Amino acid sequence: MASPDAEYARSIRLLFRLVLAALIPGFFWFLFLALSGPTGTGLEEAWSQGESPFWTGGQTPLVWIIALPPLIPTLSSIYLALSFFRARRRMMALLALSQGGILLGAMAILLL
Amino acid sequence: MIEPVWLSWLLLLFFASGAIGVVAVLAGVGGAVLFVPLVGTLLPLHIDLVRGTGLFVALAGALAAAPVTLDGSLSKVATAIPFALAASLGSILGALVGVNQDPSTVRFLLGVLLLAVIPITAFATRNLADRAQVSAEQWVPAHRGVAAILFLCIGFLGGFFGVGAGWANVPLLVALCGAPLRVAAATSGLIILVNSATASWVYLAAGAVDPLITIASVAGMTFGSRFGARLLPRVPQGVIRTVVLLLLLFAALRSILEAL
Repeated sequence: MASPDAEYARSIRLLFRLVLAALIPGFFWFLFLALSGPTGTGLEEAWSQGESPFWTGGQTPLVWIIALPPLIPTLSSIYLALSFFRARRRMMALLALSQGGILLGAMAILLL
Repeated sequence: MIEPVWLSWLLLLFFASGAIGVVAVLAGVGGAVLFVPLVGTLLPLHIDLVRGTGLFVALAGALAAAPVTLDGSLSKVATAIPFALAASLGSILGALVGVNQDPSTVRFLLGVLLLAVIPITAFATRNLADRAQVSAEQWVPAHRGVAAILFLCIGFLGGFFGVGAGWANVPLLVALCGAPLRVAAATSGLIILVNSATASWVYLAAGAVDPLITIASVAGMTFGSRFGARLLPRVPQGVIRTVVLLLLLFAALRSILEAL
């Protein structure tokens, strides 16, 4: 059985690759939207005022792609808690679960 | 100038992030601590978007490094988790307080923070010799309670300003917890992984993360860091470090002057 450290590393590496694979085409999709549609109009002004037009107006649900990177430590923490639990290190499992809980709590701010 | 203008901003952001990535690796500092003040003062982007992107820059760096340091036994999850928990609680508070703050206040405080970062980067890390030749496996952190409180404060600053805070984590882990320098740097990466992700959710909820700005910056920083790592054996680090300190001083003074 692999150590929790190795399992944590493996989960981060795998999820990071998947997220990168989604972000790269996602970038070109956002670029296409900005160049071809109303999203690009006044983008300089919106950026100067701290607004991202991709979040407002419901142009694309794909904007949620950008929420994938912080999802990696969230999911990995829960996986880490399971690894520690399997290794019978209950205190560490609890700490890892707390870490995942804080990340899920922060994520809930976005969803609420 | 390329039309539309935002496209030229995006290209500038990509190349600026790349240059920051090169310099950050050569100087041995985190990318976000350079990214936020420099991009915040050089490009006409709102400071909230820059801070939101700074967190993603820090997160991407930590995501790339964490599996390597864990596999290389330079860091242990078990030692990092208690500190990461404290830092992530601090970072969520910092992000909640910091997001949507008055931009002038943020710029002024960022300038003040940078004036504190400069001596830490210049002197503290230079004097941090490995006190004990122990591996991550053997290292037992000293003064855990005090360190956890300090990590809470560092996490707060990281969340507030959108920086990874490796500049504070590493000296703290070495000086207070007795970690060897390389183990401290690797453990700091694991802490940043969690606290930058926590604060990112808050910035995302506030709509302070633009996908175009963020992906262009993270991509530029990633390419720059890789190029910087190749240049590392050939470039005198002392010179680069001085350049970075001068850049930080420039960004600090400009942030303060802009805010006043």
